Amino acid sequence: MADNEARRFLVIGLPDMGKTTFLAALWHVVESKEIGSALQLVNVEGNREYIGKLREKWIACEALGRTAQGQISVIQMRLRAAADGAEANLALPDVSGETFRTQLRDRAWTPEYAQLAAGVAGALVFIHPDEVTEPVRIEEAAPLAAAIAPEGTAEGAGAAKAWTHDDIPTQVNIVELLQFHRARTPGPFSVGIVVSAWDLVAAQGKTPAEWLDATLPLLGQFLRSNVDELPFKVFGVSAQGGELNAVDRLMAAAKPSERIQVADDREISHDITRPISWLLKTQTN
Amino acid sequence: MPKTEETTAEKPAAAPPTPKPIPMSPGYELSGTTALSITRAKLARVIMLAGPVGSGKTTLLSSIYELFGKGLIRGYSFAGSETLPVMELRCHLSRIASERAEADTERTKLDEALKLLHLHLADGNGKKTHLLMSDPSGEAFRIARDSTDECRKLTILRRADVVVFCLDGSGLSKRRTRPGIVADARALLRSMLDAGMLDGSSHAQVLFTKSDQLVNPEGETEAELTAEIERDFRANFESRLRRLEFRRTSVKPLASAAGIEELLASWVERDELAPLQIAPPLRESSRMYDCFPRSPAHGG
Repeated sequence: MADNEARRFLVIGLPDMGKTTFLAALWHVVESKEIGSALQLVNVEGNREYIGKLREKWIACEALGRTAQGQISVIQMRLRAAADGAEANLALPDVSGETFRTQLRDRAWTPEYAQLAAGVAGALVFIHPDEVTEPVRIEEAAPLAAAIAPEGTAEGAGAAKAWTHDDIPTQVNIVELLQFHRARTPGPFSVGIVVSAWDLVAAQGKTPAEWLDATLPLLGQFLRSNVDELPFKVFGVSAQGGELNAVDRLMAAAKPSERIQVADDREISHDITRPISWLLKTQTN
Repeated sequence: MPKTEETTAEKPAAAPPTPKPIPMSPGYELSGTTALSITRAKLARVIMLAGPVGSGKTTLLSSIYELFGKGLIRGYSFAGSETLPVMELRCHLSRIASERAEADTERTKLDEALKLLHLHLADGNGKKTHLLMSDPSGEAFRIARDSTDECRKLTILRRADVVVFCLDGSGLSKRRTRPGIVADARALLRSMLDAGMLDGSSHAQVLFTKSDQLVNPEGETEAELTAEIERDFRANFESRLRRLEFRRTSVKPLASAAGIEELLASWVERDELAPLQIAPPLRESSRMYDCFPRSPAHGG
């Protein structure tokens, strides 16, 4: 990473997947230089008010709220790698999760999104463990349903709720969003999968990649089968470091950056810039 | 020549055109035209599932998709699909999101339009194959079975790399329904051969679906129940086909599904996959009866 051409990446994810919290924590880490190994801020392009406000809330362990649909704030900065001093320009747009939900429902990109995506060769894709919708077959749920419902009280076999796009499982939606990009990207499209709120699942003892394979197997197969077109890596990121109702524990960290947990394979660090470093590296290889 | 008022008047600047949304893949079943673009551009296999209502065609296809979604297929990986929403729709009645107490399958409706589901699969070595799978309604096959002329209109048969005749294992286990199921499948295969839609270059499979139910109160085993059918079909049809094989699948419960990986292997295997030639110009049609020139793999 040693040129002035801006490396632009997208930030993809349905609502409440942790995208904005990640951006707020990322901004704090690069700007504060609290983590020595992390990418560090050289300077900022454009308005920093938006990201500054998010950072204030993040430091105070407050909920950041949803990004409004239609609102796209692009965070542009020049970063320097602590390891070798190489610099690169980075642009990350904060796009609302509703924008992606609308893409899936309408099977179309808005002109604004298409403009944003033009020429982009990679993205961070966010998945929140508590927001994953998995398909459950009736035969799988039948024993539980029988145990709960007294005999003869089950719903009639004929009654069926109509199918909607909201019934589509998370893994299928993410595959679809990536297929949209693959179809419109001439070269490889790098995918940094960020499993947010990693603290919720870290106790399972799996690496982020193992968690993805176990929880979202269709997505895991899709990524591995298309690694030439979609180079990928899976990270576990706890940008807040824990649940917001444990504010006292979170605020006890000597530096705000130290409450961040990033799992990269089996290595754990506070360096939230790792997914960005990996994306940048895929662009220079 | 003096300029007229009309020619000299300044026209108001045209408003810039409003940018339009950029459409993505619609996600519906593929039409013949769209499917042709896949078969021409990339290695692809067209699989036609044939059989009457209730023979398990639609359940089989939705179960294959569900098995990939649950990571229960070994040997092949999901590499993509142009028809994800419609496959989700087809799985709906078997999921609790439908709020049904008993699983069901959406029946394929009688429709002239050719509809194909798409799965892109990668094998253990990373080799990829596009599977284009069609399961027309049982009614379409009843018509084709009873009329050679009607059967000739099913031109997709001439492009199909494998034609799968689905026989309901549950029905085969009952003395009352078994003869009818066998006669029906035999008549359909004969009609396709007599109509010239299948011939000595064709690959046909007889698939015993619901094979977990291939037992009967008389104590006949699965092998005994199917052996006579195999002998019958081999005697009548094997010499008229390039390949005739018999397979079994069961998909309920899904976690104990059997025969699926072997079936997929028989669909995607490459040893007989001839390179596709440049096909004649496309006809703008999505009708099942109009598209699909004969596959070069079948001798053109």
